[in-house]
Amino acid sequence: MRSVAYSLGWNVVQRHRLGLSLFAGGMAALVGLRQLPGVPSGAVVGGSIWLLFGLLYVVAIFTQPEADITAPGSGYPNHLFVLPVRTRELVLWPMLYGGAILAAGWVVVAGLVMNQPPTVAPILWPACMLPAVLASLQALFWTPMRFPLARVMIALVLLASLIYFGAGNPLGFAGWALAVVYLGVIAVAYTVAVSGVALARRSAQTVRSPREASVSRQVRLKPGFNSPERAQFWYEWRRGGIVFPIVALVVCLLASVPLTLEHTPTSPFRDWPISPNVYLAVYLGGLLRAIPFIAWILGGAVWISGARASALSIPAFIAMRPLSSAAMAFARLKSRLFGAAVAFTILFVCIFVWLMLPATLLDVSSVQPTSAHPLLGMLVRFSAPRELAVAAVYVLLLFGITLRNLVVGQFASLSGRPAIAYAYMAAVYAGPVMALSLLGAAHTGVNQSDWYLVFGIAILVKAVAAQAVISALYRRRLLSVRDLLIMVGVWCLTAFGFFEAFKFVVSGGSRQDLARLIGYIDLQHSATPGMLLLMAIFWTPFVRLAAAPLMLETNRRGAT
Amino acid sequence: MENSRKEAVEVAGLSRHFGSKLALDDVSLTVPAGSVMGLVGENGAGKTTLIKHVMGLMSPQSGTVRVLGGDPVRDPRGVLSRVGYLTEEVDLPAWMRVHELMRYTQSFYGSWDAEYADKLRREFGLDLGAKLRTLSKGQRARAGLMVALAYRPELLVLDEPSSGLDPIVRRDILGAIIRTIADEGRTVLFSSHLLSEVEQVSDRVAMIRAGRIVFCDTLDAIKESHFRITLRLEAPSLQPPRLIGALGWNGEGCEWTTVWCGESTQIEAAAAVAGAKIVDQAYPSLDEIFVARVGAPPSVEHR
Repeated sequence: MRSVAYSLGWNVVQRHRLGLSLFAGGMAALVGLRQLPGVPSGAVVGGSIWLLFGLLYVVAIFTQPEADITAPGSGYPNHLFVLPVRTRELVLWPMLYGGAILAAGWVVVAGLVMNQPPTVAPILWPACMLPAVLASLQALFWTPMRFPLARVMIALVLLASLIYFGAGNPLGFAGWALAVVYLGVIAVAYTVAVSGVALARRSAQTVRSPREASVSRQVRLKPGFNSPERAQFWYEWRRGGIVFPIVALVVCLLASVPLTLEHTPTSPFRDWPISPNVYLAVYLGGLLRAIPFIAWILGGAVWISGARASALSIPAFIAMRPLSSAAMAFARLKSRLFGAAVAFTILFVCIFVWLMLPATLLDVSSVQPTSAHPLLGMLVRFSAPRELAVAAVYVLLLFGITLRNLVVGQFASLSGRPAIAYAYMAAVYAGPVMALSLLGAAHTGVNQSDWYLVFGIAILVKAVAAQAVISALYRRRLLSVRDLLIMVGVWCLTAFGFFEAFKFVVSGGSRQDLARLIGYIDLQHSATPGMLLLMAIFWTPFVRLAAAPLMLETNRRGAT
Repeated sequence: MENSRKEAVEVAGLSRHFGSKLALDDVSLTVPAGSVMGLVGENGAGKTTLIKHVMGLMSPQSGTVRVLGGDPVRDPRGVLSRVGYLTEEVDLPAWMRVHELMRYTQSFYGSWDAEYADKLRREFGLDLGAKLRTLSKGQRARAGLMVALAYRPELLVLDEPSSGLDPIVRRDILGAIIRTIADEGRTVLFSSHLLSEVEQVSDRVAMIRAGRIVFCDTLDAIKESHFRITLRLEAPSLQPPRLIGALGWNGEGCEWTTVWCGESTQIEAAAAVAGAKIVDQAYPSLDEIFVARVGAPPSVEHR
C-alpha cells in the first residue's frame, strides 16, 4: 500500500507530468546555458522570464482549483474528500509539494542563473515568499465562502501585500526576518486551509442561507430576452464578465482609503507649481496601471490549470443551445468588453473624486502656499492643451490594453486547453524578450536593427498563425467572408489607432509633469515611427481573438 | 413542425474513434418521426457517444447524422431549436436560479410556452428563487426536464435520464415521455439501463454493443423473434447443446435454458439438430434479451 504522501503527490504529478517536466527541463536548460562559456549572461537572465509562466503554472496546479472559484463551494478536489485520510494530510501534502517545488525553483534560478556578478539576487526570503503565496491562495480557494467573489478580491490584495512586503520591504527587515514572517504566513495559511477543507468535507457550504430563502419569496418570472444573442450575453456577463468591474470597484475603494489619512501636500516634480496630496501624487499612476494588470490576471490565461479550464470551458447545457459557435464566442468577448467599459467608468469616477481633492498652488519664489483649489481645476489651468490631450490618449491606451488583456485570455478558457495559451504566450512574448537579450548581450545594448529583426520575426509568426486561423474559420464555415473582412478591417483600424496613440504619447514626452503624474512610463524617447508601428502591430490582438470561435467550436464538438 | 418527414433521426455509417478505441463502428440508425426509440446497451457500449452526435455535441469522423432533416453541427440554430435534451449529468449552471434558468432558456426557443413551463415548474415543485446548486439531484433533473419540454420540441432526446434517481422522479420523466408522445407527431429518443422503463414506453428499441447496433426493430418484433426455451438432452452433458441462434446458456446436466433468436417455426428443427427436446418455451422480457445479448459474442446478430 502506498503512503498518503505518495498518493496525493502522484495525483497532481501524474496529471501534470508534461507541464512539470517542461518546467524542470526549462530550468535545467537555463542552468546549463549559464555554465556554458561564451553564452552572454544577459540572454540567460532574459530567458528566465519563461520561469514566470512556469511559477504561475505551478501555483495553478497546486491550488487545484477544480471547482468554480466564483462558486461558494471549496475548490479542493471533492473526490478526495472520501479518502480515508485526515483533513490535515489532505491539505499538508499539496501545500508542501507545491511550496517545495517553488522554493527549489527559485533557489536554482537565483543561485545558478541570476546570481552572477554584478547581479546579486536574494535567495532566502523569495524562497519563503513563493510558498507563502501558494499557501495563502490554497487556503483562500479551498475554503467555502458565502460571497465567493470576495475570493478574487482577497487574492489580489494578498498577492500584492505578500510580494510588496518582501520586494518593497517597507519595514526594512533583514532577509532572515522576512523569511520568518513568510514562514508564519504559511503556518497561518495551513491552519485556515485545514479549517476550510474540513468545513467543505462536512458539506457545510450547501446549507441554504436565510438570504436564499427570502429571495425565493420575492422573485417573479420575467419575460425572456429579445434574442438568443442577448440571452447568451447575459449568461456570459453573469458567469464571469461581472467579476472584473467588481474587482475594479474594490481596488478603487481600497486604494482610496489612505487618502482619508494622508493630507500632506507636496510638489511631486521639480518646478511644478502644484502640490497635491502626496499619496495621490505617488499612487495615481499605480492605480491606473493596476487595472490592465488585473485584467491580465482575470483574463484567464495565467492561472488556469487543466481541470479548471475544462470546467470553465463549455458544459453540454450551453453547447447544445441553438446558437452558432461564433455567436457564442462573440457573446463572451462582448461581455468582457462591457466589463472593461464598466470597470473604466468606475475608475474614472474614482479618479475624478481623487482629482477633486484640494491641491495647493505654490508660489515658487516664496515657497508659501497661496491658494487651495481642486486639483482637477489646477491641472486644467496649468497644463498645456497638448499635455491634457496626451493624458487623455494615454488613458485611452490603458483602456485598450485592459480590453486586450481581458479578451485574449478567453482563448484559453474557450478552448479548455490552457497549454495552448501558455505555449503561444511563451513563443510570442518570452521568445522576443530572450532574443533581444541575446542580441543586446552580443553587441552591448539593443539597437534599432535588433528591434526590427526580433519584432519582425514575431509579427511574421503571428501572421502565419493568423492565416492558419482565418483559413480554418473559413473552411469550417464559422465566419462568413463578410464577417472576416469586417474583422480584418477592425483590426487594421485598431492597429492604426494604437500606432497613432503610441506616436502621440511618445512625442508628448515623459518629461511632461502631467504625464508623469498619471504614471506614464518613460518608454522610448528614441523610438522611431517604424518601431512604434511594429509595436502597434505586435500588440493589437488578432490570432487569439479570431481563434475564439474556432476554439469554442472544437471544444463544443469534442473534436481532438 | 414538418409532418411530411418520415425520419426524425437518420444516422448513416457513423464511426468514431477516441485515440485507439473505436467507440462507434459504422453505426446506421433511423428513428421514425412520431416514434419512441429506446436505446439500450451496457456501460461503454457507445450510447452516449451516439446521442452526442445526434445532438451535434460531436462531429462525425465518418458518416452522416441528420436530425429533423438538418445537420446539427452545421446548423445548430435550425436543428437544436427543435430538439429537447436531458442528460444524466444534468449540468445546469449551478449559479442560476430557477427563474433565471427559465428566462435564459426561453430566449432561444420561439415555441417556448410560458404557461406550460410554469405549469411544469409547479408540478415539479420547483421554487422560482432557488439556486440550482441548492437543489437535490432529483430536483435538478426535474428542472432540466422542465426546460427541455417547455418549448414542446419535435424531438426529445434523453440520455440515461433516470440514472440514480428515485422512483418519484423517474415517474415524472416517464410521464414527460408519455406527454410528449401525446403531442401528435413528436419523437423521443432515449437511452436507459432501466429496461422495464424502455419496455413501458418504447415502440422501437435499438441495442448497441461495442459501438455497433446489434438490433433495431419494433418492440413487438424483437420480442416475437426471441424465445426463452428450455431443452432436455437425452444424456447429461457438461457442455450446453450446440444450437444455432442461442444467445447464452444456463443449466447443467440434462436441462439447459437459453434465449434463442430466430423464426418461431424453426425452433423445433434447430433443437432436433442439437439432439435436444424443447420442454418449455416462452417470450422473454426485454431484460432477459438484454442480458442474453450482452453475454453473447458480438458476432451474433439479430435476424
